[in-house]
Amino acid sequence: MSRDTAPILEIRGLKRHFAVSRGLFSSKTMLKAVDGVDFSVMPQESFAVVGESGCGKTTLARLLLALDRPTAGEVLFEGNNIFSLRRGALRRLRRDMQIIFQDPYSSLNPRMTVEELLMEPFVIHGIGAPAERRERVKRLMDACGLAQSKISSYPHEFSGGQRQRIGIARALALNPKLVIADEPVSALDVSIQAQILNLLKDLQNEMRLTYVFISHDFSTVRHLCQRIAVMYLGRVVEMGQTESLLGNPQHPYTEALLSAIPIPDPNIEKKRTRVILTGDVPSPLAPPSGCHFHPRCRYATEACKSRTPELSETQPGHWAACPVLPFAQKPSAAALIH
Amino acid sequence: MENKSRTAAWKVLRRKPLSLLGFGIIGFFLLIAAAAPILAPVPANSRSAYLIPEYGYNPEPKLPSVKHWFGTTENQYDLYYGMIWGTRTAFKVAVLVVGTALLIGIFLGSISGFYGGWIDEALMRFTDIVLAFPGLVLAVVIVSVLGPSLDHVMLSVAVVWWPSYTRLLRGDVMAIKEREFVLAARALGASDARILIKHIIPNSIYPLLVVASLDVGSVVITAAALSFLGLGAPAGYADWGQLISMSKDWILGSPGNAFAYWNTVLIPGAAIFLFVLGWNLLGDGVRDMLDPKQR
Ligand SMILES: Nc1ncnc2c1ncn2[C@@H]1O[C@H](COP(=O)(O)OP(=O)(O)OP(=O)(O)O)[C@@H](O)[C@H]1O
Ligand SMILES: [Mg+2]
Repeated sequence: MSRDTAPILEIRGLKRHFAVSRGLFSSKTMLKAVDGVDFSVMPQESFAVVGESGCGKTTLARLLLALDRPTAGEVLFEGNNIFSLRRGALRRLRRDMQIIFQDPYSSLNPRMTVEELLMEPFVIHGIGAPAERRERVKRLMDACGLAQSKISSYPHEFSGGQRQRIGIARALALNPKLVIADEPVSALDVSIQAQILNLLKDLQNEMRLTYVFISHDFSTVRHLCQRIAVMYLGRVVEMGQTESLLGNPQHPYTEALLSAIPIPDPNIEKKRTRVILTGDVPSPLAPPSGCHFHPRCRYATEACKSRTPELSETQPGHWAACPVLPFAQKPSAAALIH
Repeated sequence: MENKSRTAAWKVLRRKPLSLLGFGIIGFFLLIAAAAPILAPVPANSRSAYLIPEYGYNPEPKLPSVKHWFGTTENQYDLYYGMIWGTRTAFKVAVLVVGTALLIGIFLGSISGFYGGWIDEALMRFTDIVLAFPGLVLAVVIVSVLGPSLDHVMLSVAVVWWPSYTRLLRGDVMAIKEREFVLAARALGASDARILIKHIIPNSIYPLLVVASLDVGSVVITAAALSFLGLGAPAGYADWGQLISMSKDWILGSPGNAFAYWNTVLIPGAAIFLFVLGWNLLGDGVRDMLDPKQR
């Protein structure tokens, strides 16, 4: 990440609240799926967003591509707020920003062949003559590890991993600058995950892509991404360089998530503390007061119940929304493992 | 793939001899309709092939004979000629009415389900109003206002039929539009029209097509009922419903002989019955073929 270039993506105070009714007669409550998110992504950076199921990752991904409208806030792509663009301008901008979906089964139209699926981006934007389009489709299939002989096959004739390759090929057809990958491997077999991650990494180098990589765990993003933001119930609670965030978490939630997974890196393994995350994620319909994490937090003080913590820079480039942890006496690992 | 699905469809059908019978019956009627000019040549001086030649003015029907294979109706219309050319009318009614209702249903249903909001609200309240009337009664009212004719019968039945198609497709469109491939198309910059035509409709239309094929029978019956009530084609027009209508004064036969004019009721009645049965069996077959669980 170079400091002298402008960010390709800037997110400011982004909120998306859904009005949901809980019962037939109850009044509507606001579900704050995304509740005040700020971050920026530099060109050719890989930026990870990590959080448990239901914390608002997919909602955020859709907002970043203007597939949904925010309740508040803005998303600047190369300096332009995508929500104030006109229809035509937004459609043209879509060539530059694409998405890879979580579920390779529902993200491909079951009634289209691979050729039709991969041709569609060119048809929509009127790029190339039919023969040239076909040629480009074949090159895309090559680049994404799909056999050209399968060009007339339908999605159901492919395995999950192969389908995800089709989804990736479609996202990259128009040579985008930014790709949002919403848990692109979480629906796949573990044995396939590494292949797809490697493909994404290779394609990034070749096509100089910027990634916003969404995941529910750190293991998929730690080798791919330079920076990580951790989300909890619609808010970013910690953000920093990958090594700094994984090696020295500044938020109790990150610390707890990290200790739940074994890390095959002795340097980090030595330093870390074991924390067991107790309780479930609270319902986003009735999030806890103050710091949303306080009922599950072992550092929580009385003040945490009423005060909503802001992100603050605890170390250069490392931000955390917790006024307690950085100063708390961290118990030793031995004391925590009985 | 195409080939695979064709063999799969055949496999389903083979297990369902009744559906196969349905295809057979409709195929038989199709042959008759296609070969009508050969089976029942149009008289040289006829103004239209659909006008049944009349052999005299005697109001009393006649039984089958060598000259008139199915006999004659009241006023001496040749029943055989009417039956053969009436097959074409039956297909015309079935295809035009169901086709019109389908087109309206697809257009309004997809717009309603796709856009939602006030458009959906307005369209659904309107279909509620149409659906609140008993279909046949509404159709009778419409034809009575427009004046009796076969075209008006078809129009009125289509008017009665489209709301249920609109509702059915709307529901499926609402389900499909939430699928991620629709979002993917939008992310690529596809227009609403493209998303509807290329992505949503091809994935939501099959249940509607099954219902439509099952409906052909009821549509033909409804149209025949209107003709029977004297609201359809004029006397002498080759239309099964109209032929039954001409026999309604002779159903009870003559004094002492209840079956004196059996041919005038039984022949067109049997044709309508077989035609409707054929479509129903065929519709069942179409449903089974499209139902992946049956494969
Ligand atoms: N259209 C909607 N209407 C109402 N609530 C919604 C809507 N979309 C999402 N939500 C809610 O917003 C919250 C966040 O959902 P989101 O799909 O963004 O989570 P996620 O982090 O992607 O989860 P997962 O890991 O399961 O994919 C959830 O509680 C979800 O129920
Ligand atoms: Mg998600």
